[in-house]
Amino acid sequence: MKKAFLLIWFVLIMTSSVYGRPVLVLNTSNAAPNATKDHTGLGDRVIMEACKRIGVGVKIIVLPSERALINANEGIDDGNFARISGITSLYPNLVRVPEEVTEFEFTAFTKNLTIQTTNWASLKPYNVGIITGWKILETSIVGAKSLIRVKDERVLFNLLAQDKADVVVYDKRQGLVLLDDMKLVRIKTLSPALAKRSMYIYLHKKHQALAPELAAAIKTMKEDGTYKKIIDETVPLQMQ
Amino acid sequence: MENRKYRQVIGYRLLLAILAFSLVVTLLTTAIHVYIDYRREIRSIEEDFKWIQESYSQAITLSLWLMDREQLQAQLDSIRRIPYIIYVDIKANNELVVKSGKDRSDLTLHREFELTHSHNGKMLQIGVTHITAGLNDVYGAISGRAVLILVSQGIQVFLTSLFILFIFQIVVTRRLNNIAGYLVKLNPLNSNQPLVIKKRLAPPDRADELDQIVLAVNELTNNLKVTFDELTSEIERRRLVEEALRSNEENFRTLQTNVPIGLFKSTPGGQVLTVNLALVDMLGYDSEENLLHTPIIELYADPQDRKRLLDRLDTEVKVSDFEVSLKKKDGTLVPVSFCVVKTVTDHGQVFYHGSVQDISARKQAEETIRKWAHLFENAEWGVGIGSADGRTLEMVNPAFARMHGYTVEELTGRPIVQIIAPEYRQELPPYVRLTHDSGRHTFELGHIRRNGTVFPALVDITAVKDDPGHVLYEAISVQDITERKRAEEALRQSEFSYRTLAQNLPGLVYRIHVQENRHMQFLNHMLPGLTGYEPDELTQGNVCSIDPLIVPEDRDRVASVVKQAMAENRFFEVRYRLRHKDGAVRHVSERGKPIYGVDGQPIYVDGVIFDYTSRKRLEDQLRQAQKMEAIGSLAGGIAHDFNNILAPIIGYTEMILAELPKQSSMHQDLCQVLRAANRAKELVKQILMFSRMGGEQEMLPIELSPLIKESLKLLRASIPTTIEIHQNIAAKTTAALADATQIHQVLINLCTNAAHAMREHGGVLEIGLSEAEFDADTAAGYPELRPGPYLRLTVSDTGHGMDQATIERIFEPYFTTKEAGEGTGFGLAVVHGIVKRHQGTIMVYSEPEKGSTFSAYLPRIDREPETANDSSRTLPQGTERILFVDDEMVLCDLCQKMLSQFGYQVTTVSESVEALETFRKQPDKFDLVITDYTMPKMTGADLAKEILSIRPDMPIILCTGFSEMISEDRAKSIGIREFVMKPLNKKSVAEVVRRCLDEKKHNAAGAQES
Repeated sequence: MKKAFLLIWFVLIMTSSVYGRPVLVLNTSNAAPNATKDHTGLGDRVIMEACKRIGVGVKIIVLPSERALINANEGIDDGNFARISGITSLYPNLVRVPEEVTEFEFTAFTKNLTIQTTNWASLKPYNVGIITGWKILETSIVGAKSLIRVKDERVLFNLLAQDKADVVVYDKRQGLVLLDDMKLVRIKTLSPALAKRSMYIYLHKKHQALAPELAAAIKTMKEDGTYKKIIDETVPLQMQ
Repeated sequence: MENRKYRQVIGYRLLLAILAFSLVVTLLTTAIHVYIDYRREIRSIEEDFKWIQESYSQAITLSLWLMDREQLQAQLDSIRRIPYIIYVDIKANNELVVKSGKDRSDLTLHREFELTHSHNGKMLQIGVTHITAGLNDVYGAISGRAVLILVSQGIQVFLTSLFILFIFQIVVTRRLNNIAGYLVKLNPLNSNQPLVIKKRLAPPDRADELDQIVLAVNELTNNLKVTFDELTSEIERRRLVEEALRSNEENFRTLQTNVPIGLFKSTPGGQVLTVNLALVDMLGYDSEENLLHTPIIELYADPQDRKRLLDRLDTEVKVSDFEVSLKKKDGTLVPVSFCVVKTVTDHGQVFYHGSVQDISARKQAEETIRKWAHLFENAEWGVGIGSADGRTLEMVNPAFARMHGYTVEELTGRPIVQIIAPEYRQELPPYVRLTHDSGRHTFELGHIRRNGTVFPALVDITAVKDDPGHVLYEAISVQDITERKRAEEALRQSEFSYRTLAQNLPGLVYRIHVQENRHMQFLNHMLPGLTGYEPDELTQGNVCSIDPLIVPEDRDRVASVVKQAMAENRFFEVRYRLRHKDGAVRHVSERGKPIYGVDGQPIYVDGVIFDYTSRKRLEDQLRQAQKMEAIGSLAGGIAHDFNNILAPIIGYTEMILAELPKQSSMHQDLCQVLRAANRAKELVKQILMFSRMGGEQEMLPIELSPLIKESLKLLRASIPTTIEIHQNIAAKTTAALADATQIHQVLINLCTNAAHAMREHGGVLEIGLSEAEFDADTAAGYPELRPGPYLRLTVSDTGHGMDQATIERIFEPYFTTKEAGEGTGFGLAVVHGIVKRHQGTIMVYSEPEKGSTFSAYLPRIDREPETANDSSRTLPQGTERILFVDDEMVLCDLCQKMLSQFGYQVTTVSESVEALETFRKQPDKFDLVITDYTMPKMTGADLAKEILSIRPDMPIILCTGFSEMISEDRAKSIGIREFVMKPLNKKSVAEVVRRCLDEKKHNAAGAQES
């Protein structure tokens, strides 16, 4: 009995010493090429590499966009990626890792070849679709003919495919992958992009100490070419 | 019973008690029901909460995990639709995620359950669901049920109480009321009916409380009735006795006091013991005492009367209708009738009981009847009494009988219809009915006497009726009104005569009331004819007067004449002008006389007003004719000498021309002489035409229509073309007895004048011929016209026209409006003369600038016109012997040659005396004598007389230029056959000579045949 107790204590001690740093559970609502089911997306790989470099384990789970933020903010999960800067005002328990993980191009997708968009205001004449929880879109698209909010990107593009919306706004890279995945044709992206935003990792404040480390690790990856290498391996060339 | 208060009614109190108890029970049971229902509802809500948690928890958790807000909202809305759930929300970390409904803090039940989700190997509480159920609806439903229970149970209790009350009323209360009512009305006098209640009476051994009460009451009633009947019988018997005594005494006193007959009681000794008030009043005493103290004997006017009465009472127990005169207190006498009964008491004492009746009224009535009877017998009018049905005479007086030729006895009982003339009998029944209806009726009817003569009678019948209105008899009076009828008829005839006289006078007969603003009190019916107004049109206020119609210039003069006549009480006559309603002025002559009252003041003016407008026009026309006549005489005198001068000129010229070769210059010169002489002859002829003294022109029936057409052809050439000529011959018959030459002259003159009036501006000249008819009234306005058919020859122009002053003078000779040298002034004068000579007239209508129309009226004839053409006839000739006498040798030679050319044997003599001698020597040498009229020593007329005295059958022709001394009529009266005017021409001489000779032969042949 005594031996058994000692064994358990040893295991615990060993565990805490060998694995003294926690395993982060990061959630994401991104789709390919940022995040994939098998965690081989751009974001997946950058985060796993960065965490590896700072010695922190990581587990990535996919959640709906808002649930992902809530869970991260409430500490159910340890963090969330990839989000634009500035969401801490709504989710005060989150801390941004101050190094860009990837960049989103908020682009209009349409089947109507006559539509031209140059800025947010140029969307006013149209029925526009977005995904619920994309804050930049909810705050920037003002005065459109109608603004349809859906829960995920597949529903979003079905709107377009079924002519229930004139235009949908989504990240260009993810959109293109999704169109290919959904085998939707005759839908094009409009140039230029309506906005470009750097996307970051957010950690629950209980892990705020890790934020600088992660930032530094990502920066190092950019400097040593790891980051570029990951992009080349995860993002098709025509999307880079 | 009915007025008792409800509180005194057993049923009311019973109802209140039942209701109060039932109310308490109802409230308790309702409260229990409500509590049970509340608990049931709360349990139901709790079970719903549990079911919601079990059914929705997993789904809501998943939606919340996915933050699918739409799904969450749908799920909460679905929950909220469950009964009583009013609010559902989901909170995460105490923050509201979604909600449905409104949360209310009052009257609610709450339930919440946690939402947990397994994530990453751990169970996470991701939210809490809050559910709120509202109890307001629960309470509302429970309250409704409570009210329903309360009301239904309340009604049930109330109806049950009413039913109990009704049963109680039927079974107990009503019968108690019957018993109480019976006892209250219980009267032992007439309580023959026992107490009966509406309930089967049970046998005594099974009687209930009510039955026992009924039996007791009925026994008590029977006992009371027996006792009361005995008492009542005794009381009634005594009351009847007292009542009879009191009534008798009262009746006696009343009778004695009020009877209008005097009553007394006296003794044979003459002492009055009792009297009543009637006797006191009858005799004029102040009181009974004064009368009682008066000895009886002093009351008799004749004391012997009392002695006679007592004598009779000695032998008779009762004396009636004993009439005497009593003295009144003031000494006057009053006739009375005694009725006295003698009574003797058991003690042998004698009393007289009597009545005294004042018979003065009866006496007076008898006197009146006697007078009426005398009047009835001696009346001059027939008076009688008829039966109630009006059929029979029941009584008549002698005058009635005499009037109808019967005796009184003969008429009495005779049917009334027998004294009515048969032709009037059918009128009697209506009169009788009328009398019975109205009570009295007066009418006239023909009565018949016994001898069959009929006389008019004034009958007055009065139906005498009783109070119900049934006729008792008829009072008839009959008056023979034969004389009155005659007088009325005479008066009516007189009035009719005067009325027709006044109405038919050819003037307005009037009576003016002087003192009433000259109101015309009487007017005959000539007023409209004279003035054009009806009397009411001339009435202002109450005054009818024609004074306003008098032309203002004449009013003062008329008033002055009338006033003067009234002042001097004499007739007046005044002529003045009245303005007729048609605007024309009528000339009237008024003659009247004032009528004076007894006070010497004029009351009326009676008079008559004649319209002499027509007469005045005739007078004016006559004056004009006389003027024309005078001018004509002057012109005719000149013409006579001219004719005598012209006759040899023309005659010898014609003869010389006949002997000269036509190509010689002398023939041509003499033709000029003859033409000039003929023009002079025509001028003289015109003058003579105008003067109506010209030579006799032959009037023949001619058609004017072709004459007009022929004249217009001639005129057309001489009238300017600016003047249109229209002819309008509308007459169907256009024949007239006329001289064609003269009518032609008329047309020429009128048309020439018309053309002259239009020569400057042109116009239309229209000649018309139409038929016209003059009746007697119209013809009376024109002295030369006679009533009959006429032809109207009109010549109209559209020239400058004429004013009235010109129109009045246009027919005067020498009057002309033309420039000097353009007219002779004889044109229209000749037209006038010709038309008048044709027994016609000419009228002119003209207005300045509107043209003129001349209408010549010529007598129309229906004979066929002669169309012989003089020129076509050969002049008649003969071989007879003619003596020609003229103081001018030239004419003697001329006529000798002229007549010789016709084959006659002519002897000429230039002196009349010589001619007579020649004739006297050989009266049979001549077949005809032609003599001039104006000759020295012996005129042609005197010569003719002498010749005719020798040979009355000698035809004589008197020939003259012009003379006023003899007319055609006078010449014929002398016996002269023909009368011709100079200058003679061959044609006229040949015709008149032949006509005379043929007539002589015809007469001679007739004489031989006769």
